This record gives sequence, C-alpha cells and structure tokens, in this order.
Amino acid sequence: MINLNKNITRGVILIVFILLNVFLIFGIAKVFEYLNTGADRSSMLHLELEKAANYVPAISWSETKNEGRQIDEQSLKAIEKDYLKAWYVKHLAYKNNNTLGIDDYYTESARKNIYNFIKINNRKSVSIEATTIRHHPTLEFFSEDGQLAMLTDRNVTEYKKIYKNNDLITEIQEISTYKVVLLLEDGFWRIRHLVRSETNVEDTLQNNNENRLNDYQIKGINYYPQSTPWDTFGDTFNSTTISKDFEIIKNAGLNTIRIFVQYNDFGKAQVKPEKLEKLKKLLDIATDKDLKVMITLFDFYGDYSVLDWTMNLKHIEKIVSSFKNHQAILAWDVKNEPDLDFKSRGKKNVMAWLNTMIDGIKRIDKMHAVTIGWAKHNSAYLLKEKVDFVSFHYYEDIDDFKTTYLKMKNDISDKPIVLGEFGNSSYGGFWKPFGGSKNRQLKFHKKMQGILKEHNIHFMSWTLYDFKNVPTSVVGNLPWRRSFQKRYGFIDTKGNRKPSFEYITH
Amino acid sequence: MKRTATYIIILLFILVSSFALINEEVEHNVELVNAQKTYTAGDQIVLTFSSSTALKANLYVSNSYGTTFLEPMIKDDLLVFDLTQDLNHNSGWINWALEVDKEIAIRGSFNIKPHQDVAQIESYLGPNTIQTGEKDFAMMVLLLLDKYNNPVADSTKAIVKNQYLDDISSSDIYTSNLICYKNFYAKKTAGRALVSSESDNTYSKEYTIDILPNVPIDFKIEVNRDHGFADGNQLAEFKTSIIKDQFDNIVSDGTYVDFFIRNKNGDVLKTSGVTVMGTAIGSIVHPDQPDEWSVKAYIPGMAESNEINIEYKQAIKEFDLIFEQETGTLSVDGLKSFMNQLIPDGQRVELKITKDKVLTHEFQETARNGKASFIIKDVLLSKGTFTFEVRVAGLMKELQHTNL
Repeated sequence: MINLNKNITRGVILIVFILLNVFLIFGIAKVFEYLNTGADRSSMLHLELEKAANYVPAISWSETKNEGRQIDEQSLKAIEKDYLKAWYVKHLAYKNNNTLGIDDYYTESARKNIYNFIKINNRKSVSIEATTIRHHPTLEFFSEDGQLAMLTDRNVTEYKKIYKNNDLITEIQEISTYKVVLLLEDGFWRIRHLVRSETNVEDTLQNNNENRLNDYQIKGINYYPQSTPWDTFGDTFNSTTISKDFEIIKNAGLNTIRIFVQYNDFGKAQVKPEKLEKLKKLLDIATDKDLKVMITLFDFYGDYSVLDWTMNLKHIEKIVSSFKNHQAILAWDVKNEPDLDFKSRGKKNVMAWLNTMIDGIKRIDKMHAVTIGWAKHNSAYLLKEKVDFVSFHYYEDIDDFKTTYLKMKNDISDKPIVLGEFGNSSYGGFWKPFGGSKNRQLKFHKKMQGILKEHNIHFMSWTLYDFKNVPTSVVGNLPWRRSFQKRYGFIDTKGNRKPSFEYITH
Repeated sequence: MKRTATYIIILLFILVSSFALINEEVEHNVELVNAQKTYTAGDQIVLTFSSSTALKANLYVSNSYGTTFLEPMIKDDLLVFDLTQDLNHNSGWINWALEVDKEIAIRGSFNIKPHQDVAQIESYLGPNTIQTGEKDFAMMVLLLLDKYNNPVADSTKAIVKNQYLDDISSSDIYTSNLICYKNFYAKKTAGRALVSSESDNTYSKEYTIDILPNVPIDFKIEVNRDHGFADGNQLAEFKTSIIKDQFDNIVSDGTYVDFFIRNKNGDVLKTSGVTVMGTAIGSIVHPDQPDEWSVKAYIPGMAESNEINIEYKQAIKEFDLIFEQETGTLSVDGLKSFMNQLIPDGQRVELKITKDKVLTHEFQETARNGKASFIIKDVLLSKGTFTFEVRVAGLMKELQHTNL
C-alpha cells in the first residue's frame, strides 16, 4: 500500500512538474511573442494596398490641356493611381469605420473630415458600403514644380448601401462632380480639398423598349463541348470539335446557341487575351455555320459585394467591347440563374448588382439585347423593364408549362419571352431506377416542341450532349445528382443520336 | 359574453387592417417644409419634414467627404433633422434622402457655399531656385481658405507682391477652380527675390526665390608654376579666369571644373577644382622628366576654356654610376637638380640589366639624399657580359661589366 501511494505521489509530482514547465515555457513564449509584435515591415511599406489591385472603376481623362506645367503621361498615371486609391481607402474606411490607409491618401487637414464622419457613424452604428463606377476627370492645373494638381472629376457615379446595426437600410445612387486639389507629399498624391461642385440625384439609363430581337425566332440549344462540359474555353479548346458540333446543331435545324463565359477563368478584371482569342474563334465558327450566339457572363461568380463591382464592370467592358460588333452575337445574358443566390447573398445585393451590370453592358453595347437567365419563372418579373427580353429556365412539371408560359405572356406583354433552358434527363440507372429513360426523354421533347410550336415560343434546350463527367462545382458531390445531370443530351456519350434528337426543334 | 368577445375581436381586426391600409397610402405623403437651396458654411442647417402621420424615418446625408444617417427629433408632428453640428462645415453640395421603412420617400440636395471671408492663405512656391534670364520662373499657388478650411468661392481676389532689388511690384489674381496662381519670372542679375501674398486682410509669410546664375560661358585658363623644370616635386597650378554666365553673373561657388592635360606621349592626366568667386584652381605635380603639356579646362556639358601649352625642361643634367665588385652594389650618385641642389628624395631610379643583349632583370629604387643603390650580387652569378642601364628623370646612363 505504502509503495503504491508513494508511486502515486511521485507520479503526481512528476506530472505537476511537467505541467509547470509547460506553462512556464508557454508564458515565456507569449512574452517573447508580445515583444516581437509591433511595426511589421510589410505594413510599414503599405503593401496591403499595393497588393489589392481590385478597385478599377472606369476612368476616362478628358484630353483638354491643363493650366500651368504641361503634364506628362507618367505623372498623370501617378495622380490617377493615388486618386483612385484615395476613393478606395475612403470606401474601406466607411465600410469598416476605421482609418486604415486614410493617412496616405488625404492630407492632414482633409483627413479630419473623414475621421469626423467615422466618429459619427461609429456612434450611430452606421456603416456604408460604397463604390464609384465611373470617373471622368479633367486635369485643370498642374503646378510648375509638379507638387500640386487640381482636377475636376465630372459625373462620378457613386453607389452606396447604408447599414445600421449591420442591417441594410437603403441603397442610393448619386452622380456628382467633384473638384479636387491634390498635393504630392512623401511620394503620395494626397487629396487636400474635395468639393462636390454639382450633383444630380439620379441617372439611370433610359429603359429602352425597342424590340432588339426584331423578328428573330430563337430555336436554340445550350452548348458545351462533350469532353469538357462547363469548360468551353479551357486548355483542350479545339476549333475542329466546335466546328463539327456547330455543324450538327445547324443541320438539326437550330439557329442559336447559348454559351457560358466563366468570370474567374477569363481572368476577372484582367481578362486574358488568350481566352478572348478562343471566344473569338468560337464566334467566327458560329458565323460560318449561320448560328447566333447568346453569351452568358459571370458564370461561377457569386460575390456581388459592392467593392467588387468595379472589377466586374471592367470584365464586362473588356469582353463586351471586344465582341459588340461581332456578327454572331445575339444577346448578352448577364448571369445564369442569379435568383438561386437570393437566399445566400441577399436579394437586394443581387438585384443591385444585376441592375448595375445591365447598365454596364448597355453603356458599351447599345445594339444587342441584354437579358438575365432566371432559374425560376416567378423571378422573371424582376427587372423586366430593364432587360430587352425576359429569359427563364423551366425544369418543373411539363404539364404546367403551358399555363405558366401563358400567364407570363399575359403579364409581360411588351417584351419577348425566351425559354432559356429546359430539358429532361434520360438517366434511369442505379441511383434513380424510376428516373428517366431515352423513351421518356423522347416523349418529353415531343410534347415540349408541340407547345413551343403552338405558341411560337423562343427556346434553347439543355443540352446537345450527354457528358461523361460533370464537375462537382455544378451540382455538388452527390452521385445521383451528377449521374442525372450527365444524361440531358440529345446525343449520348458514344456519339449516337438518342431518340429525342428527332424533336430537337420543330 | 361570448358574443361581446367576438365583436371585440372583429372590431380589433377591422382596426388593425385599416391601419395597414393607411400606412400604405401615406408612404409618399412627406414634404420638406423648409426648402432652401443654398447655405453658407457655418450656418444653422435644419431640415424639417411634415407628414400626415407619425413616421419612423431617418435621413441619409452625404457631403463632399462622407455619408451618414441621422435620426429625427419629433416636434409638433414634424420630423426635424439638425445638420448644424456635424455637417455645416464643408462646402459643396449635400445630398439627402428621407428613408421610411427602408424605402426612400423623398430626396433632394442643397449647396453649402464657403464662407466669404478669407481666414487663411496656404501658399505653395516652387521651384524656389531659378536661373537668371527671361525664361525661367517660379510659380506661387495660393489656396485661399475660409475659417472652416474650405477653398473660398471662385473669383476671390488675392494680391501678390514681389520685391527684387529696388523694385517692388504688386499684382491682383483671382481664384478659379479652387486655386489662384502667379508666375514670377527671373531677372538678368542673380540674387534673391521675395514674394508675399494677401487677401481680405489675411497675410502670408515671406517667401524667397533664389535667382541663380545661368550656365557658364567659355572662359580662359593660365598656369602658375615656380619653375619650368621637370623635378617631379613642385606643383603647377591651373587657374581659370572669373567664370560668368551670359548675363555677366559670376557662376555659383562650387561649380566643378575639370582640367585635362595631354602630354608628349598622348597620355591624359586630369585634375579638377571648384569655383570660389568664379575662379577655380586645379593643381598637379610637375612631371619627373622633360615633357610638353597642353591643358584645357571643361565645365562638363556647359563651357570650356582655351588651350595652353607648357614645357618642362630636364632637371638633372648628370650623375655618376659606380659598380663595386666586392659587394655587388651598383651605386647611383651625384643626382643633382637644375641648381646643383640634391634632387628631392623620392625621385625614381630605374635599372635594367641585360646579359648578352637579353633583358634579364629590372629594378626600381627611389633616390635618397641624391643617391640610390642596387644590390645585384645575385644577378651576377653566371658568366657573361652584363649591361647596366640606369634611367633617372629621362636621363640615361650605361655601364658594362664582364663576369669571367
């Protein structure tokens, strides 16, 4: 007994000793860690802002000559860079109610005004998420010693969301003209004075009620190459394959395809030239085969945050301006099924984003139609006055389709309505033994085409091919969903036409 | 009892639903009572809205610098928003929007003009050193500010004054695009100009423009030396004339002058100096053998001098060469300069030894007390005829020795 007790005592003492040491070392480490905090070298150089080249509003300088010293290209670029950064840090400051970066881009007297607002907003628990979409600066004056510049920034389009206690209260758009005095201090062009000299409460593009589809009757299909679904413009992009596929589509009697441009894949704000090159090839082939193309932008994008907008618009600008004169373009689809993001991203956020992006496209391409590929027919009423035609997807009960369509037709009488996606999977295997079959698919399309023909409905079916692989990012990891998604095609994985092919159009 | 309860419930239901009805109708029935389009910085700014029912409303306000969200005070059924404390300082347009139930019911804007009195002048002068002549100028940029640090309205007058020597001039300038500016052109004489500005009983400090001499024009050089002998000891001094710019201003002290010397063999030597009161001096030690120099000075990229030629005569006429067989020592003695004084210590003495007309060894020594010696015992171990060739300050002497 005594021995056992002794051992227990020993054990306890040993454990206590070890624990004591652990705490001691931990304590010393903490002290050491504390002493090593402080001026971090990377923060000293303000690299965090340099890294974030993510504020890129459209900026166009007017060509007029300035007073004082004639400015050179390099100085103007330096002013532009710091001026936009000044806006960016201001947006960040009001979003987070802190002063990070303000010191760098506002002089001592100017930053007081911003600090004052931060103080007020902090007190009231108000935060503002804002961005500017367009700047039209004119350099009015540049001093002889190159240390002072004055510019007038006309029609700055600002968009703001006001939050109180983290609850979105309201959103607002303003168009203002600012007069700005900048001083070159410590290598930064800092804002010394900012005066809003004019303001216009609202400027929305006029809703255009022209029928941009004219009398074009869309008989179309959603297109992905068979081997690379959801990745049309990847490394394996092959013009021969596309040419063959388009030939099939054309010979089937269709006249339109709907394709998808992925936001990240295309390089976000810095659109990759090689991707544009591939898109151009595809459009050229489409022209060859007499097909029109509806391009769906922002595929796999889901942020919608206000500070991301300038990048989104830059993306649009690059793609839309590159192809707005291409013969093959039929329309721009802003985003595929954005209503599915209402829940996770907030309806207001998504709607404001769509609104801005439609404006963004229309500002550049005044000729082609713009639409939104809504997932649900009851979302199709949203922004209907803004789009050129209403587009919706239908995967619900085929028996309800006719009534649904006729109701929509009745409610949206002034705009064409396009059925952007519909289809039926012929999958009836292990995961869904009573799901579908090639025969059921045939019946589905036969019935659909009957209705489409009867009411002269614009349509684009889903999709040309059965796929061997569906990326998990599309329908998730669940095998029954993936297998089901693979079998929507009119042509099976071996390249044989399924019975439904007969009813690919009417 | 039961019936009464039912009635009450029905009545309540009607009451509640009628409220809902009224609320919907009332939404846009809000008006700004005190519509005013312009204020002056520092004014009291109060926006008052009337509405037919009590509303839960907030006011969105944004000015040149920022945005905020204000809560009302309710006074006699009016919604009163006081912007005085936080938002009456900065000039520029203010946008406001009244938010009711997360929708904007009414929006508008008004302008805050800067205060009319100038309270502060911010002056920026640059560049503050300019060159004489008529082209170069300094620019004075003024920001005239009111007491709230806003740039004052356009077309506000400022007076800028400029003193140079006996001349004091004054001119009026007017603000445009928040600023006003004036250029001060240089004069033909170098010196210092003072500028100042004033507006509306507010005065700036005094600012200085240094008008520096323009680029130098071509100049002359001369040489000063104690004697014309190539003694390798004394310094020759090259001195420029007073270097001036085209307007007869002496160039700034510290202007760098390079003297390039080309000798008989085509080698280039260089010395340099900086100007003091327009004159630069460059020194270089005399050559240690007869030579002819041509010297020219440059201020790189700007000006150059005439070329001068100078000659150096032989300083040593004669010396003795003695070989002592026993110690194997070759002594050079009697190294005397142009007045028969011993040549200065450090004169280089070179010895070349050829054996049967083949150069085998080279030695170098420096003279001390007019002498130099070479211990060449080890060289002479083999048999044959040796020639010792000694060269001092361009003078050469030979001695032959045969080892048997």
